[in-house]
Amino acid sequence: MDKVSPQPQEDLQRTVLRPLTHTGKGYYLIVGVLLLVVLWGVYAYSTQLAQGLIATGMRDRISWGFYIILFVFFIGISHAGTLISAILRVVKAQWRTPVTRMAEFITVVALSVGALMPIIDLGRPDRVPNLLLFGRWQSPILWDLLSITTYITGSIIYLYLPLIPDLALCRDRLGSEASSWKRSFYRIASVGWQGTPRQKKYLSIAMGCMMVLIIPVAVSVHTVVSWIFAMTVREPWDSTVFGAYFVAGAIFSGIAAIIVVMAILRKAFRLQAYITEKHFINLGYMMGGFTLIMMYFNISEYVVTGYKMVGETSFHFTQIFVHEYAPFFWFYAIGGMVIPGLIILFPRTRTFTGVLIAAGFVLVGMWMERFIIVIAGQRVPLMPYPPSWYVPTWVEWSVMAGAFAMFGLVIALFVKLFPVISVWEVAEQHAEQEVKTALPTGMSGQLAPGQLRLDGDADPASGVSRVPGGGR
Amino acid sequence: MSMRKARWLWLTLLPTLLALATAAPAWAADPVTLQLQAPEQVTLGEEASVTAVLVDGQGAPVRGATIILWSAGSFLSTGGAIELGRAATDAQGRATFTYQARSEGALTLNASFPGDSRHASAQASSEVKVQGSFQLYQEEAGVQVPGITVWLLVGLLGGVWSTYLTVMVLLTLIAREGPKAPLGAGGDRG
Amino acid sequence: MPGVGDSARRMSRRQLLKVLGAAGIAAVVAPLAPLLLRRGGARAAETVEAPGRLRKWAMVIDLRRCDGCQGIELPPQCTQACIQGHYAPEPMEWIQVYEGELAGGGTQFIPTPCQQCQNPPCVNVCPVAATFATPEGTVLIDQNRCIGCRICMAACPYDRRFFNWGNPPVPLESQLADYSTEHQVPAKRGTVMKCDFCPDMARAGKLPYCAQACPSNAIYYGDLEEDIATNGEQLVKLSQFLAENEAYRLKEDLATKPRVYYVRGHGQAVGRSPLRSGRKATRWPWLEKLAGARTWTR
Repeated sequence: MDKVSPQPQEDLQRTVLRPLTHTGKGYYLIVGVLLLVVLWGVYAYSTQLAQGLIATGMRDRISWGFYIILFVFFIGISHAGTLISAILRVVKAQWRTPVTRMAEFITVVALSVGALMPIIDLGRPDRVPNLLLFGRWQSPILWDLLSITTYITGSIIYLYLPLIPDLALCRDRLGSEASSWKRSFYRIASVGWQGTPRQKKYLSIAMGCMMVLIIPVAVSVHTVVSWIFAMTVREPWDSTVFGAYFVAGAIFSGIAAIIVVMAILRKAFRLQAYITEKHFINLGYMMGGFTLIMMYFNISEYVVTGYKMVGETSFHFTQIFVHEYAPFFWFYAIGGMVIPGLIILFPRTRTFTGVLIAAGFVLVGMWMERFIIVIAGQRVPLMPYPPSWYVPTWVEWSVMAGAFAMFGLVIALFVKLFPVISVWEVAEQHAEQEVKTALPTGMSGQLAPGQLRLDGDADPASGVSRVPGGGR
Repeated sequence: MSMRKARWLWLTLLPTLLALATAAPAWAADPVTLQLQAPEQVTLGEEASVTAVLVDGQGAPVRGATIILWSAGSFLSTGGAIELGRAATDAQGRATFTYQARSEGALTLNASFPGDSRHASAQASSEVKVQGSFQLYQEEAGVQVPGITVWLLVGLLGGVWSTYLTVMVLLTLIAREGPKAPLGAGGDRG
Repeated sequence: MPGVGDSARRMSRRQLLKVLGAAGIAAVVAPLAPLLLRRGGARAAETVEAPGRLRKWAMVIDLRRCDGCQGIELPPQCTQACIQGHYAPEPMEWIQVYEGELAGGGTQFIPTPCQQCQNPPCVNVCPVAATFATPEGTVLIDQNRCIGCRICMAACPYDRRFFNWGNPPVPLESQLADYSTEHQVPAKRGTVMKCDFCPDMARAGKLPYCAQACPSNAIYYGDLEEDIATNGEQLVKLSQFLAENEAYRLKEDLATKPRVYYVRGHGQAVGRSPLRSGRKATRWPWLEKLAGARTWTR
């Protein structure tokens, strides 16, 4: 961050807490539309339940389709929170603070939507309990189940912990403005947070544990998701690099998701003062870095297999580079990696708008990449038969629309319940900055005699605003 | 000798010569004796050596003759002869086979020599008692990878979930602290 | 203050004890989940183990005798008999006759049943042990347990697993039958099916449908334990037959260890030229009796 926002803490709280109590017509409209799409998706799924998976475009030869693509896609996006929240917290990158809450939201919601997808894909969803009753720990699907439940639990905890002081703020600040159930909710959920030193110590230990733990958990999640494919002998999937490739792709698409969601929420709630262009540019830099990593992985895969052309490699290359799926692949390669890379590379395009456009390209490109992996991977013939086609039906399109709508809807509901910016962390950071700039060098943290805290008194974490006066 | 006499001689001689000619192979086909030497008792799955000896009518060994070792059997409602091996006799007229018994109980091993231009065909058999009843083909489906056990998974998950438990404990400690602090008091205030 | 504080403390403590209790249970149970799963997943053999020796079923397909039933101008009889005998719904060909290209030109017909791998990729990946290997080496599917995730179909390298995408048509005579993993009727929607090597037929002393139906007796069914095999006409010592004919297996490099062996050929024993390609399309005659049966394509 090149300069500290000049807004006093009072304004921060007011801006961030406002959506929790005031709802505009636009919000109801958006939520209404999203709800309709979700309900349409539910209707499509009910058709599938009635008829069986024959209602989809999947058949014996290409037996995984949109649902598994969306599963991988959403689990991938869920790595947003882990990266921003955890990794950036661990390396103490200062600029991340206003962004962490949204990133953690995205993680929890994306995980929930993603975890639904394999269940929607099952031929016998009524037999889901069999996974627990008869589960085989040697199966990649069980690894998925275990790691995703562990990650969801961890993400919810990791969303909740930094939320506690903000919930306490809501409890204290939102008096009659919030509805009564919201008030009880804040009271209960803030678990009696008063900002005492001991409480802060416990919270920081808890957050410290979680932020270190959630990183390997997140890495393991997308690794085992990739192993659904890599544990088979199908040629395009039989690759030792899948684990790392998928994790890199997950973080890549996660960053893009944060950029997009953040841009929307920033506009909707007028958070321009706290989430500045610099934030987007920093995220853009990270995205650009990951572009290079993804290009490296792709080059490794294709150059190494292409040099040898073993087995059905030439069939696969023809279908993804030249013929049937070439549009998808080249959109992913050029649109999803090269163009975002170029946008980030040149200072002229490295703006808020540029980064947002790049993120949009990345998201679509990564969806295409999942499509190529799942569909083109299965299309390679195993025996002498003509290759098949996968043509998704309205059921699959509707469920996909419903999944994205659900993602948007749950985030929309979250922002009405929780502050979208981590108020106490931002305030804490401001305070530290103010103190550093105000004090003579060599001293920090302590107030000099007669000095006031400029942006309101007392402990920022308690969320209580004070009239300046009476210092030490 | 007159012409009539010579013709009569040929007429009587010719059938005789012809009869002799056709009978020549049988006549010339040496009756042979085939002997099968096999152990009386053999264990299931054990490799036993079985020898067939082919001698001609004069007792001289026949060499280079192909002997077929076979037994009668049945499997899934189909019965018939199962060829167990073929071998050629050496200078001593011996053909050796290695036989591994795969079915328990009484077994009749047969050897046969189909015969050739100079020798008649011959058969021999020998009774073998196959002892024992245990599994020979041991391979089981599935693959075992040493070191990869469920305990590894349990350990990893245990580590992660006990950290979650620790965090929950910390949450309760936070909750417990709450009511102790005076309402609205800050931490490092004043 | 005391009154409000006390009740607030009591409420939050109660709440948190509940949370703690739940977390405690979770923290104890979750890591043990894989252990519980292992016990649940372990699958006892469905076939009653005969005391003493177990059969180890294997198959040898003599491709010198297989011409894809070109010579008799019918759809491959092995496939047809299997379809009829098992009421396999369209388009399932549990034994499927592929026409493969020969390296030097021409084609060969390759009847391909489930390869009954001894390192089965399908069994390895199944999350609920719905597909499993018996002690006899046969790989079976329990349609009552299958959840329809289709990872087994992704894993099988031989294209031998089939999914009931819709409600599979079930013949009248099977609708009330007791389901058995060795005789998969009635078929169930949302589950996977495949060739089961007919172990129930073998135990009853009969050859599988495919072996019985082949007009040139190209399919040998045998037992590796007793080292014997038959094609219905002739008995052979299995190990000798395999060695003398240089039998091979499909995709040997994948180390799936199949129980189905092949003898190289292109139907020459029944007079087929490798340059004559094409066979009649498979049919599902039993389905034609069921009006309005909805089927799908592969």
